Amino acid sequence: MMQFLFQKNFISDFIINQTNLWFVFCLLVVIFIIISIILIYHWNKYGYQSKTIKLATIIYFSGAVIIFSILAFSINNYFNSL
Amino acid sequence: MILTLDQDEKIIFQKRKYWFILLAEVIMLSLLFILPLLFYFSLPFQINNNLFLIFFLIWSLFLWVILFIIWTDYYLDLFILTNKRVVDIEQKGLFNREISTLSLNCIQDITIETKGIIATLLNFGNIYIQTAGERERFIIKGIFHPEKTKEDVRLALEQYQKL
Repeated sequence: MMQFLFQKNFISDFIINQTNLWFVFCLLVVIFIIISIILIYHWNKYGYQSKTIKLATIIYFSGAVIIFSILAFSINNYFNSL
Repeated sequence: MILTLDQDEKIIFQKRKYWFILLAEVIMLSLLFILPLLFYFSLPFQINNNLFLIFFLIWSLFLWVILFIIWTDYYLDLFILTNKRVVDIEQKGLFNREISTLSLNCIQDITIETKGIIATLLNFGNIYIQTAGERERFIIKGIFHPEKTKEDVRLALEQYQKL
């Protein structure tokens, strides 16, 4: 029980603190941008500007924007609820 | 334009792998998507809902990107038959692309393979083209209606030999 409480406090105080979570969020944004550049490079170079590629680009970024928005909102909400 | 064609060269068809191959991978991703939810509901103790949502969204973002990498791999694979050659474009993940071209006069034999229950029921399979060229075997994977494709290649070969 003591060990569980210690682990729980350690995780909530040191690992999941506000700075760390926002840092992870920014890191995810950076990684996402890098992967997106790679994907767009492939789509533009080998997809030959087809309608499907344009549609895929819209869906890809729309989905990502929705996920990032809810994620930012959830991080904010989590720290407000503490 | 995907290919630079000769003056008298015409594309007979261009085909992608059968959509079921993509669907199978999407189903796998969907199972991975619901995995954290199963884990969440089976936990003997309660964890912070907001915290779970944060981890679930990070997981979803990861799967979202993987989905588009898989789709890119699927969409950029192409099998093209012209009246002069066979072209197989294989995207192997990111930054790995293979384009194999085979002149129709190098074709010696065409074999089709339909393996497994799903492939048999949905009628898709692989096509193996035996060649006289440097690359002995030319493989086109996951093509819908392989018999029809084989027939199309054979007809194109006949037309080519008549010229």
